[in-house]
Amino acid sequence: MNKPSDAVDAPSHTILLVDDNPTNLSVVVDYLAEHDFQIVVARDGETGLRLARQEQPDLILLDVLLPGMNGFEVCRRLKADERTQEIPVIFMTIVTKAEDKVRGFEAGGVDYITKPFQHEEVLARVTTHLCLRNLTRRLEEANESLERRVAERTTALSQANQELQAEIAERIRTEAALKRERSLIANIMETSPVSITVVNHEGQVTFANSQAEKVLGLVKDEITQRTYNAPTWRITDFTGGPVPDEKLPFQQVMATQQPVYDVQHAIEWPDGHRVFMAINGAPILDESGQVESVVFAVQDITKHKHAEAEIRQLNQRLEQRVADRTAQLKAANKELEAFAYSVSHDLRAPLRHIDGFLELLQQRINGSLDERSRHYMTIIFEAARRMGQLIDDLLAFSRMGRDEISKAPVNLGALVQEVIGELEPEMHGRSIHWQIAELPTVTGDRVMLRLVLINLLSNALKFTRGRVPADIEIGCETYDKETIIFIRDNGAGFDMAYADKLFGVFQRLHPADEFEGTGIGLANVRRIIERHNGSVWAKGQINQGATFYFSLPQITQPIQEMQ
Amino acid sequence: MIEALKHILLVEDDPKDIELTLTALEEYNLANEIVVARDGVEALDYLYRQGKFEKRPIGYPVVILLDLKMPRLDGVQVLQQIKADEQLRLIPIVVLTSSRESRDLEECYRLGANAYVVKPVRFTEFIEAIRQIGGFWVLVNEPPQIG
Repeated sequence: MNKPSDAVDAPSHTILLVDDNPTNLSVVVDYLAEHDFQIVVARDGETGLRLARQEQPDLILLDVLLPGMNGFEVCRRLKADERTQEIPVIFMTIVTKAEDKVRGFEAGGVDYITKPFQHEEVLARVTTHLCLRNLTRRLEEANESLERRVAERTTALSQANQELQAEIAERIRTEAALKRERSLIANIMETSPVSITVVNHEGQVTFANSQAEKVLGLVKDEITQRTYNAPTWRITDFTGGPVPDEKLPFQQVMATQQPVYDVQHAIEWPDGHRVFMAINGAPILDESGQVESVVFAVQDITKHKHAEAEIRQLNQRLEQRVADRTAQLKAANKELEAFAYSVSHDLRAPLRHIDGFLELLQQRINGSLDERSRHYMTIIFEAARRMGQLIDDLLAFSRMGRDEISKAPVNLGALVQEVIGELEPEMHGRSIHWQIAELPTVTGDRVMLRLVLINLLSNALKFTRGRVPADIEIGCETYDKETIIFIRDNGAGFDMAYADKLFGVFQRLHPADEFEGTGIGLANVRRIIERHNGSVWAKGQINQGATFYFSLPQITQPIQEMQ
Repeated sequence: MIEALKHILLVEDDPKDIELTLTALEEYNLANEIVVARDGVEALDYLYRQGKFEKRPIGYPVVILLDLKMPRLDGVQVLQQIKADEQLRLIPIVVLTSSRESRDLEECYRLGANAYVVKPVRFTEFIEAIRQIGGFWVLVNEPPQIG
């Protein structure tokens, strides 16, 4: 007996036997059971179909002649149902007609066993078909697994492909960006007004932008086209003197591996002309950290240097001119001083003599003089005295312009009180209504400011003569940068048409016999205030009073040291 | 040798001023005791009894009235020399000048002037000033004993 091949071996195979003949059944069942097959039996086609679906046997032995549905029909149905179509069907029949066999194969059977059964034949056919079935299954499985693996591989490949595509796209993008950047750098290099060069560690120029080619006269080496011919100039200091090697920017960067900034040198061309340069340099390191080359940015500062020199020269010239002018002014001032000194001595003496000898003359002949002669003598006296007064005033005015100003805090409120006290004799018997605001402390020359107040207040008193009461107001307006003081009266006033004459030397707007004075007072006021960097002005109207203003630059704090 | 009487040395170059000064002193009957030097050189000649004053009587003035603006040696230079001299520096000096300039005033006092009088323009005031100077320095003040 042949043992079934290992393909039919365990696990034991299930065989569905569809036959209505109990004799047949028992023969086949017994025999197959002996060979470790599981046998499921169906007595008709319907049951066979149901069991085939339920049990999923490995093989079906199908009798052709069945009650009801015959074997071919059962086979066709089995093959039409996808749950059962793969199960091999072997027909069992006693009929050996050729057309039956054809019908059987047409219905989907794989083989025939004819009755009466030859046991060996049954076993051989069953085993063969099971084996075939197994092989088919394995093949299918192998095929499936192969397909699965192909699919997996395809997936993996397509994924790899996608990744590759992405990488390629990325590279294209990167390359484009790189290209743009390169073009940007190239454009910057070519349009830069700064000369840019790269010098390798051996001192050879390996790159020069067009400005560098132009300014530094660098020419590409004819042979290599990669390096530049050594320039024909040499580096010097600003005066053309040699620069020691260790001071050269290239050497500095090589030695320190650090950048250098604004190293200033000149380069001297063979024809002797010098160009001034400001140089920045930075090392480019290789992977091992050694200086591979040095990048230089070189700026031509020749114009700069020339302009600087020119400015220096202009400044010197200007300073010289200021000094000259100052010297001239000093000389003029000295002359003026000498003049004033001479006036002081020499103009006064003749006046004294006129007055003196006139007095002596008068003493001698007074008794014999008639009315008119005495009148003439009086006029001569008065003229001489007036002349003396004018000279004194003029000298005082000139002194006001020459004397040094000694600036210190001056409490204007206190100063006003002091001046009013001094002017007391002029107020005798008069009704004067003073209105004095709080006045600040200013910075100035106390003696001179006192004179300003004396002049302005005595003017106010003088020109309010005849007013009952005389109103005199002293006020103050304080601003960020200046303090304005004003003195307002209700006196004779003046015509604004002549306002600009008020502060002139010996200018008078009123007849001398009405209001006495030489006309020097306001000129002094203006000179003093202007020497304090302030200004003076006035407003008035004939017979409506006048207001005199003067401003002083604000230097100290106002209104604190008030009385 | 005859010793000079109590007298005044007037150092003044202007004859009109000399005349006015003498006229003023006449009123005090002091005119006779005035010696006039016409500039700084003469003043020093007088004080050192040299030149045209070689033969003058011994003795020093009780006061020197000194003008500032003079030919040759001016008043400030004279003042300087007198005050630099151990003996002469004791003689009181009144600067009598037309100058009201503060720098003159300051310099004279710094050099040791004993008084500084500005000649008034008005004669009546001038006479009054001279009378006071003469009255004070000749009649009131006790001069130093020199030599």
